[in-house]
Amino acid sequence: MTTETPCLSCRGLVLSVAGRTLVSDLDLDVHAGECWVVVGPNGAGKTTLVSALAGLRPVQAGAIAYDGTPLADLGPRERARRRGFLPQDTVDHFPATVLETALVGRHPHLSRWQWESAADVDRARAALSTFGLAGLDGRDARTLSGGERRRLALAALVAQDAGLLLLDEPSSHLDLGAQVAALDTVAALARNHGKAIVMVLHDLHLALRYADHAIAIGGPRTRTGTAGDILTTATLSELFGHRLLAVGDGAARTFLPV
Amino acid sequence: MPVPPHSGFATPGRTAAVLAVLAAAALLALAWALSVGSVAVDSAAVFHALTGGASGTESAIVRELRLPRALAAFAVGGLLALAGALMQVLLRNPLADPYILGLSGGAAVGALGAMLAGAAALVTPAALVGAFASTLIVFGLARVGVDRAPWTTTRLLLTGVIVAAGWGALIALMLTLAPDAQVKGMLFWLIGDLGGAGTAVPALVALAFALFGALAFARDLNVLARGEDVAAALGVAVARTTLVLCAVAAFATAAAVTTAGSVGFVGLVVPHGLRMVIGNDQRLLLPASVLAGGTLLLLADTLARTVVAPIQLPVGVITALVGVPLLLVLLTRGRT
Repeated sequence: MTTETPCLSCRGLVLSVAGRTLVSDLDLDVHAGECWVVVGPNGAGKTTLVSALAGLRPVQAGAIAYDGTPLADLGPRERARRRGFLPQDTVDHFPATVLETALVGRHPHLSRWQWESAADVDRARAALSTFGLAGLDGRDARTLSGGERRRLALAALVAQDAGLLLLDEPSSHLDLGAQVAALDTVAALARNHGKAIVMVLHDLHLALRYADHAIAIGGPRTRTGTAGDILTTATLSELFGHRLLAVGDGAARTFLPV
Repeated sequence: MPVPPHSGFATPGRTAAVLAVLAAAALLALAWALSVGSVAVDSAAVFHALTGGASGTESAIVRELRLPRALAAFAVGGLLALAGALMQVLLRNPLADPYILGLSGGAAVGALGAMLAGAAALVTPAALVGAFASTLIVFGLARVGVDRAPWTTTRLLLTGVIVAAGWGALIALMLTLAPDAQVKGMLFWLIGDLGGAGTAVPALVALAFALFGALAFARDLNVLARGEDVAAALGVAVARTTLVLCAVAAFATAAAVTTAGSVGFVGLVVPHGLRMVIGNDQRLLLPASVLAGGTLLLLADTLARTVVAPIQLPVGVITALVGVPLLLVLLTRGRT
């Protein structure tokens, strides 16, 4: 058990949507370097949970803290310097180049009248190349493929350089190879750069492959623990209301519906 | 017009270069506007008139007639383009224009009501009252709800469209009831006309305030353009910023409408066209919209008073006639 202050913690968190309680009395501590996955059936409240943890939607009860500081004591800009959030889907309403889009991640670090410095541009370019988008600086982001745009959103998040990353379906729109490449990069952020990561993943294979901790949401109660404790045949079969079978081993391990 | 290569984001250097070119174009347009008309004044005489070194009819025409009207045209064009640029980002809709929240309708009902009552002196104050009444109605209604729902741009937009439809019915009613002799003046006001603009000072002051207010939020707008959830995640206080900037846009539009009536098209075409050429970084786009919108309306107004002289056209006719083909060319050549 680590004794350092968790990057993200919550106590007694209650979330409900339209009168339906999705999360009740959740306690959670996410430390630097940990990679958490949120699993659960459709409509269980996975998106609701990560956006609430990001401080982007009201909670019905409970308290959330970043680095030990209650969210209520942090302004929007200060929150944005501590946590990054990747929404499930982003829509491009206006033309913007790839570099411009990645640079948006530097916003919380700049004061009102400040312009992006060469260091900010370097950071954005480095993030782009991390996700295989080097050399596309001047491309209109709307001409990219769905997978490239997802990687661009991840690059903008890395450019934001927050200690806590909350990701809603980071692998959506990505083909199999790109899923692994992108999540390898995300997992490396936790392992090598000490980021704390909480991500929603639909694919149980990817959850098994990348998570060291898990939150199972949608059952009678929200369960948290190590990946080994939560991502088991018994727990997941109950969670999804369908008997699952563990197959394969190592990196190829996954669950299949019986 | 070829699209210049750039990596998208505005640097201070690139911003200064683009704005310098647009400012030079504005000055050329101003020089032309001051020299043409029923009495042609050559550029040397214009210079003398402006520097106060000359007297006589020509100088009086330049200083007392053409200069205030030209500056008013520039200010109105700049205000409308600025308001249009703001509304397009705030509503994340490139087809938004300054009037989308029904503000011009409120102003028109005020102005036409004053004309109908035969109170020519009250046209401008009545338009101002109408504009602010409309803004208050739209913003007020958009917040009232059974569930005190959070404030959304969709709701604001829908409220604006509905309120605008109501104003439209009142305008049609007034035009129907008005004596024939007044209808032409009313139509000029509705299309937009600078013939009645006495002084440019209030509009120029309003432009300076609105531009400063908007620029203070320019990088927030860059983030808002990417969507509300992205902006919120990056630390933008979305609801408050949107509210403040809608108020700035409403203020700019009200200042423009009370100066020249509801001139159409500038607020839609200028930011939209510029965005295709110089990109969507608001730190560049907002001041560039002011300069280009001001220049466009100045040129349009000069044409409006000279092209079929001695008949003066309402400037809104020219902005639409010039703006439509311009936008169509940009759509086929630029980044949409």
